[in-house]
Amino acid sequence: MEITSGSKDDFRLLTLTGQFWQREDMEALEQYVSVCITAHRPWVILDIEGLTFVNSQALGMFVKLHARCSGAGGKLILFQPRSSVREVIEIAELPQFIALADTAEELDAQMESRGSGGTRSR
Amino acid sequence: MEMDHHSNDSKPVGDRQRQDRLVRLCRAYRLRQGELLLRQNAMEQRQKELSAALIEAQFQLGRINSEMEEELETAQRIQEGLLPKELPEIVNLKSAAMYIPAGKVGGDLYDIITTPRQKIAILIYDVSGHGIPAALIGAMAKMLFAHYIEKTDSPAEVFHHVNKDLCRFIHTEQYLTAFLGLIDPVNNVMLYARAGHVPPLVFHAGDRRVTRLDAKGFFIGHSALLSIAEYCNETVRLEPGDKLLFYTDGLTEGYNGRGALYGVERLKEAFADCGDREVRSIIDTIVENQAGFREGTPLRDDFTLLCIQIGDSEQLLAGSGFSREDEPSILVAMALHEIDSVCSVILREMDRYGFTDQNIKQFKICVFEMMTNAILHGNGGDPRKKVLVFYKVTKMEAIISVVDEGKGFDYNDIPDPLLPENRMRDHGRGLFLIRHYCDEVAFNAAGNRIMGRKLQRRR
Repeated sequence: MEITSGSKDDFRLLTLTGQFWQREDMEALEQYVSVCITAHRPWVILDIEGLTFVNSQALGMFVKLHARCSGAGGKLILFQPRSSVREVIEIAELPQFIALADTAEELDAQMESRGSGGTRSR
Repeated sequence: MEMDHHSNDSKPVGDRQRQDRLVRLCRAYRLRQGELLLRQNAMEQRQKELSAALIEAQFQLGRINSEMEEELETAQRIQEGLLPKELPEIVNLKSAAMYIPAGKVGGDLYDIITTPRQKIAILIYDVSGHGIPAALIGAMAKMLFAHYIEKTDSPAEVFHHVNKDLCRFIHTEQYLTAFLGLIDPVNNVMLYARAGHVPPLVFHAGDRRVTRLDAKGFFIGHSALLSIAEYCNETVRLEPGDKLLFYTDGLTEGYNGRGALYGVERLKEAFADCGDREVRSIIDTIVENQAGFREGTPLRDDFTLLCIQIGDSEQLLAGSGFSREDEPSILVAMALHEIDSVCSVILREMDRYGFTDQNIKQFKICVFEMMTNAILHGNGGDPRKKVLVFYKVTKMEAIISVVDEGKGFDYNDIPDPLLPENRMRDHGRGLFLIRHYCDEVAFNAAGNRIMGRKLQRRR
């Protein structure tokens, strides 16, 4: 999996591409988010449009990062997952407590509402 | 006679003549001396030139020698690079191999390849000649064999294609001999073909007999034989504990100091004596036996030995949840990074049977979860422990059975990740996803095997 880092307003934008199931990738992603938290900027968007596969450990990592960001007073937003990845995320009911946005408008709305919980699911 | 010392004119005629003669002789001597001196100088000059030329020739010879040595070293590295670094972990088979060089670059090569249809291809071949040409032809042959082994499970067909291709490229007198066996590890049957190679031996564990695996077939790659080269498949049924010994002729063509040949009969005797040992020990014993026979006489040719032990497929299947009639395929993994390739094999099979893209993606998650659990939790991440993956795909369904070497776990004791008290946990969703995506999930009593069934649903 590839991780590229950018920003969108106050949020750190991390774009994930490829398959997300290997331990090294999880460690790398956690490292990126840790840096944000340490810098007192725990607002993170994970752009997962490029993710083609996630397993249960990847879901666990989303949960962990959400807990760390919200614990630091910030927010984690999962942005535009493709249908197969979205299906797994929804089966595990992550959108019940992790913010999920499919469009730019939904993302803007999620960014404006700084509350950490999941706000919508289809 | 009185001499006049004051005038030549006054000398007697005889004296003058003598004197003139002496003068002439002196002149002639000086002239000759000058000539000799010139010749000596010329010779010295020539000697210097020849010495310089000799030094130059020696220098050039040394340079050519060092280039040749360098090229031979390169050829040796190419050949070494073509040999497997380590033999792959094979389901239901044990293997060991040894290559004995004979001080020059040889043409022996071997390979063990798992085919896309889960047969185990055992390949051994010997390129005629030595040095760079043998290494080049060996490299070309390795790629061609790998290419065709992936395409067909017929060894004769593989030889036919490789022969045709090599004949197009090799325009020298070189050729290669080969033996290719495709073992079905579930049914313990080997389909094989021979291309002029020394027939491998089988040690039958039941009665300790040693037999030869013969089959008709010409060399590969010799264009003069292209029109008459035909290969045929033969089958041998193998039993648990049987050993296969593949080798190249450098082994049996070892001579001792009295000019006697080691030969196939001595090899068969040695193999019969040590055939019930472990594969590594068999190879060591035979190499020692041949070296003992040679009594220090140097090898004339390099040789290779590859020994395969057949496992108990009944025992293997007993723990899988499949029966022999199901004819499941088997894959093996020992580490997380191997999951992707194992999964790809199963998903390709599903695609072949027309499963929808969505079904395939869903089953991929199941395979990943089952294997991750088996490797990390079942085997505790121990890289020495195996995870066996049995699978069967038909038009109706895909079934997978994943067995680890661990103590098992209580599958009823897995918390529901959807309960409010569990949903913030960062683990425990694997089995939940498997149960969600499979139409049927079952465990064995020990809890170290999980079976999942996915029915084909067409859109």
